[in-house]
Amino acid sequence: MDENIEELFTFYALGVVTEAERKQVDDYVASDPEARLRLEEMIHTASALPYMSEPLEPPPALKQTLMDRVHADAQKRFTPPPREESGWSRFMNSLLPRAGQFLPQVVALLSLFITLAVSAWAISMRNELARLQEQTALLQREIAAQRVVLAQLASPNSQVFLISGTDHQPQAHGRFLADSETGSAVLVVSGLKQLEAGKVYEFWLIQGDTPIAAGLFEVNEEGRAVLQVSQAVIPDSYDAIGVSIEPEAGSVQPTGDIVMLGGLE
Amino acid sequence: MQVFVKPAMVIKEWSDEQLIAQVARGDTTAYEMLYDRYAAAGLGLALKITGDQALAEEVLQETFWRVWRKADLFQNQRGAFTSWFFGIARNLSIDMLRRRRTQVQPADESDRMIEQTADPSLDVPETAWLRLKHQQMRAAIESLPDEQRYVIELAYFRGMTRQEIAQATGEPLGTVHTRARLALQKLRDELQLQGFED
Repeated sequence: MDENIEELFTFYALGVVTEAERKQVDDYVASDPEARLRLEEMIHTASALPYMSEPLEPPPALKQTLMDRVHADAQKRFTPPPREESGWSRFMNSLLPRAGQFLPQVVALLSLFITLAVSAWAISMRNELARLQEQTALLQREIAAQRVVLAQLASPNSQVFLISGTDHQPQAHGRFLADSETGSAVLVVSGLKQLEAGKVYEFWLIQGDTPIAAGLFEVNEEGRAVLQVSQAVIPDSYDAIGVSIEPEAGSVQPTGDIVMLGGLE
Repeated sequence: MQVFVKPAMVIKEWSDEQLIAQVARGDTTAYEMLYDRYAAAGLGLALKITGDQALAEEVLQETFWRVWRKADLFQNQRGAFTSWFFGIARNLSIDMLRRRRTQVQPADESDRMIEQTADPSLDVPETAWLRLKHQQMRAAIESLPDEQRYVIELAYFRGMTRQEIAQATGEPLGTVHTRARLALQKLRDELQLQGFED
């Protein structure tokens, strides 16, 4: 182990070495797999440093300007060139001049077709409108819920409790955030498996030996989910939290595997 | 009675790597999803480095432009999308900082400038995890002794070399090395303890 070169590892990981130093380190780890692992571990740790800064929403105009530029570029780079006319199209086009003699019949047929099409379209639009109104109402409810969740995450009064996977799903982990002043609480989990149809995860607040149902949730493709608990939660009133697998409608008491557990101390 | 935020209702559930692969094929919707996911984090990072809101916005715009133009160069096997993205944002921020010789504000002052204005239309599970990462990282960095944290701040957020740090702090080069190494080791341990996820 060359300590002089390994001294550079930290600064390599932090991205502040000269080109010569970078090459020196690259050459060194190329012939020493263990040193490469040590370096990669440091790079991995340093890659978390951007999270030291507080996120800040950019102004909407910035996104608009960028997206305009991107759309214009996409048009140039990704729009396929116009296709050459096929032999079949050329043949059909050659027949068109002869269609003139049947013009009145063609116009009448076309009018009938358009009338039928417009009627069908009007009916489908009515149905579509009703569906969209329903969807809008649902989205508005979701946005309201999401606003509460994000406010909870940003609240300085939130107490954070760890919840971990049990032997059934040891890779699962998460946080339970509870605001003892307002009683609002949010469960954020990751690493849970997607469940078969007809099953959901159920969150439990546990007092002594008594679990109290606190919400149902599913996870997304990455095994993540956020559950806002609508009942007021004062963390001191409970001893533990847990997650189990339950039938779709949920249960009054846990009936399936307990997949996550955590203390509220 | 629960309010159930059902992730299945959220369309923005692709992984970063799936999205960037789509961007490389010219998919502007996938690109917009990445923007929505990481614009706030990118702007926060650029602001922390430059200490100048206008400059930070310029950095963010250029960063995302490069993400668009160079998406096909992103090699998944070489690391996560976030490492690539934050790497671009950081390098641009430091370059701009050097070019314009902007007076950098201390980190705590730039932090005070920030208002959190969460966009409720964002993908909540992803946003929630992103926010937790920020909380975990801040907790980890606060666990460092002041002198170790300072070395990390100077190197990562000001782009100072070890020699420049030694000069700025008046400490021998060996001390700077030790502090930086110990800081990264402690950060690694703290993040592991908290279950920090890539």
